[in-house]
Amino acid sequence: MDVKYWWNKRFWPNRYLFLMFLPGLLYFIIFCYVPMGGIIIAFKDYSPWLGILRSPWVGLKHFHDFFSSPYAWRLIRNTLLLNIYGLIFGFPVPIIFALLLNELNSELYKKVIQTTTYFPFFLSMPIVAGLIVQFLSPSSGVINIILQRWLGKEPIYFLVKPEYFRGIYITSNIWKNLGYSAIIYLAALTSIDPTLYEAAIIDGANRWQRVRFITLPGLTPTITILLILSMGYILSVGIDLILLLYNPMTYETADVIGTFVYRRGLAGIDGAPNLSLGTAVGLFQSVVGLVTIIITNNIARKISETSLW
Amino acid sequence: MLKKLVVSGLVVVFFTTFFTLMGLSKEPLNFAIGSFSWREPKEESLFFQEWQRRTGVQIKLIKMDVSAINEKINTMLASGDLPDIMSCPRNIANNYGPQGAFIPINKYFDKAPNLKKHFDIKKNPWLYGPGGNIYILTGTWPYLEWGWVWNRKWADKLGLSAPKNINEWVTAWEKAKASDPKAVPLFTQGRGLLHQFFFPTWWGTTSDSYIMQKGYLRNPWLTQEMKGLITFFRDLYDKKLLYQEFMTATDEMRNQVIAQGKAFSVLHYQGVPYSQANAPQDVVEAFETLPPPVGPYGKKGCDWMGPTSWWGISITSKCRDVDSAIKFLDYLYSKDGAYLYYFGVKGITYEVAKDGTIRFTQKVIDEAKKANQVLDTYLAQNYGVNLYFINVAPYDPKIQVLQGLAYGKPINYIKGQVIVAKNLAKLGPPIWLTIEEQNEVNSIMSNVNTYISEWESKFILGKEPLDKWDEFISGLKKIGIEKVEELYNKGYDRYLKSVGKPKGFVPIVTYDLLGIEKLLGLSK
Repeated sequence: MDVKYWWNKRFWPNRYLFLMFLPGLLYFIIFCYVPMGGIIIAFKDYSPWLGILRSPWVGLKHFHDFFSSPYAWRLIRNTLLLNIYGLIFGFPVPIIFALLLNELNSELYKKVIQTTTYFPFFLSMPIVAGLIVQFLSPSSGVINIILQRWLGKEPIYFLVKPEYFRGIYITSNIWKNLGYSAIIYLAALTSIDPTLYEAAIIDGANRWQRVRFITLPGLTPTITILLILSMGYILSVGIDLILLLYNPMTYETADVIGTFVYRRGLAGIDGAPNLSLGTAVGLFQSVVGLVTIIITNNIARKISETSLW
Repeated sequence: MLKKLVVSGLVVVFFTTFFTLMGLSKEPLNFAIGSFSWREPKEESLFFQEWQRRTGVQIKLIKMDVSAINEKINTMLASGDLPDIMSCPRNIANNYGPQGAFIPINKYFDKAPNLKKHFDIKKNPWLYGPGGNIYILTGTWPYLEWGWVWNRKWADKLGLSAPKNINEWVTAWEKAKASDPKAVPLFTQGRGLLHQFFFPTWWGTTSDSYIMQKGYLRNPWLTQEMKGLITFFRDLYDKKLLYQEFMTATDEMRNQVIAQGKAFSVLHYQGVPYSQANAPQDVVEAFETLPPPVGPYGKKGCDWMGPTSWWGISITSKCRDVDSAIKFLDYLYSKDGAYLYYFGVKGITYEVAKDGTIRFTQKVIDEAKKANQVLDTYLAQNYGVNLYFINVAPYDPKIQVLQGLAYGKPINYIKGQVIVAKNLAKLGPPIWLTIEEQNEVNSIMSNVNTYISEWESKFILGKEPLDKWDEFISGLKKIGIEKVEELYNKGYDRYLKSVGKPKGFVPIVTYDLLGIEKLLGLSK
């Protein structure tokens, strides 16, 4: 490319835009790309005192450590399943909720509902976990009181039964994040041209048809982008709620890669964290995330007009 | 004239150099220390001022916010920007000490009479780290919290006398349950506490100790006795004698059970039953700590944390004046130093009564009241008395009890601490692992801990039958527990070779309680 041409025709006329772009570019270089060099500690026995360069090179030892653990595949399976269930049950809920909100006529009622559902997002995870433990207690929890008094059933000790863990986790997350997640879809809904609805009404379309043929297609690009992005986190799952709710009885379904990394990589055994192992597992998660993003993006590009690139 | 000028010049240069060097030698030592917002170390506080005055060593505090202290320490290590002295976890010091981050303090013991006495290798071999060196000064801090607490009034109503062995405890729990179906005969919270109370009852050793069998150190999980203990837990759970939600109970649920008077016995930190602010006074006053029961194999003991605390103070390899740092820290291990740390300055913060008890002065009590703060928090915050993240001064139950009395803690709680101090479980032998061995142990134990916790929970809650015990043990061996045993035995041999075989198996830690028991009415 002719540099002079680029400078005169592309850069100079848009110089203020480039200037605005500069802080973002610097942010990504300084905080995202430069630290990537730290990945090297996944292949070393990292000691903060010896530093990255002087720490001994151990090759794939930490990857081997992780994959040779008798729990490796259980950790991967649990992480994947929590994410898949999250996508199946958690992903559509805010979309449906946003569509329902959009159909409400009363502005006041709409705002009350939105604020109410938004509120749990501000509760810290320990409070949410405390509420869940209290709700599900076999002796004093509301759920078990209903089961016993109204339905004549035996109390269930939900929190030590692995078969209930995923349901509890997904439901709690949906409840907590519903209002917040719906905001982005509500924002996307405002960008749909109102004349489309007017034309549809004139053409005799009912409410369901308007949702199906105008609203949903209008939301599709946002849904697609968010879905592709969420695929990047297929091997990552928020561990704060899990750490607060799981116990050895539920490890079978609740122990995930993140909790393993927390126990081994950060908390460590006897207070000795293994940062190299944590980085190795993190690298593995990122590579899988990158591959799934690429695959999902390619699929999205083939079957729709929307994709990340 | 020229001669005068040269002489004057030389005099100026000499004095400038002299005073500069004097100034340099008086440069304060940097002391990095953990800091809570509610218990913040302050340079100007009485404790730090007095400590400096008595030792003649000047320090400058660098505060490390406790919420991110490990990150802060790691950053310091990674950047090499280390202070002269720093408080840090024992494992950090023992991991990075041999790599050159911290100095082996034992090499300087000739200049530190109090440290030399306290860290006598024959008396306190546990305090030594990798290679038989001391990279961190820790307190010999017996954490006297794990006493067997029961509700005396409830027991009296049932006509029970204090259980002396584990069978009598089971009978007491059964009678409590029979007296009230809603009763929680044995309240505890989590598997860890179960281990802390029952491992000493089964083996007479602390819950984190290995068991010596025929000259070989065994992990308790590989001993025959362990199956009996897990079967015992299972029976307690089946008969609803053990709190049914012990695996998942939150602190709020715990407080509720105790405050409602449902707990017949509380196997927890003693502070929990004795400090229930929301419980009726008669419930709290009914609690009483009993001596630990004799177990099925004739052993007994109370778990305790010691003699090494997990946190201490190290001198870094970047220290500019090791001799001063040693002098400074050595003082805290003297009797006067310990009293300065735990009580402050005589006449200002505390007074000694004729009977030997210590009480804080009315002045500081009034100040705390005015500030609407609990006395110990107020003293730490404003006078630097008994700060966390130092706790290196030699600590013994006598001081602990005196301090409890001075703070006005419940008398039954203090008596409980004395009972624990008199019944300490034995400590397992000291084990000196190399860094490589420690890494291997960590790698294996990560899986072992997960495996044991799952199987144990399933056995106790009845999810798996105890017939599967052999299957459990064979799985445990498969993931390498015997390798860890082997490494521990190597570490023990290394210790024996360095120190020479101690008299008897494990040096017995005893504490001199002097007149405290008499004072509390525990002995004549």
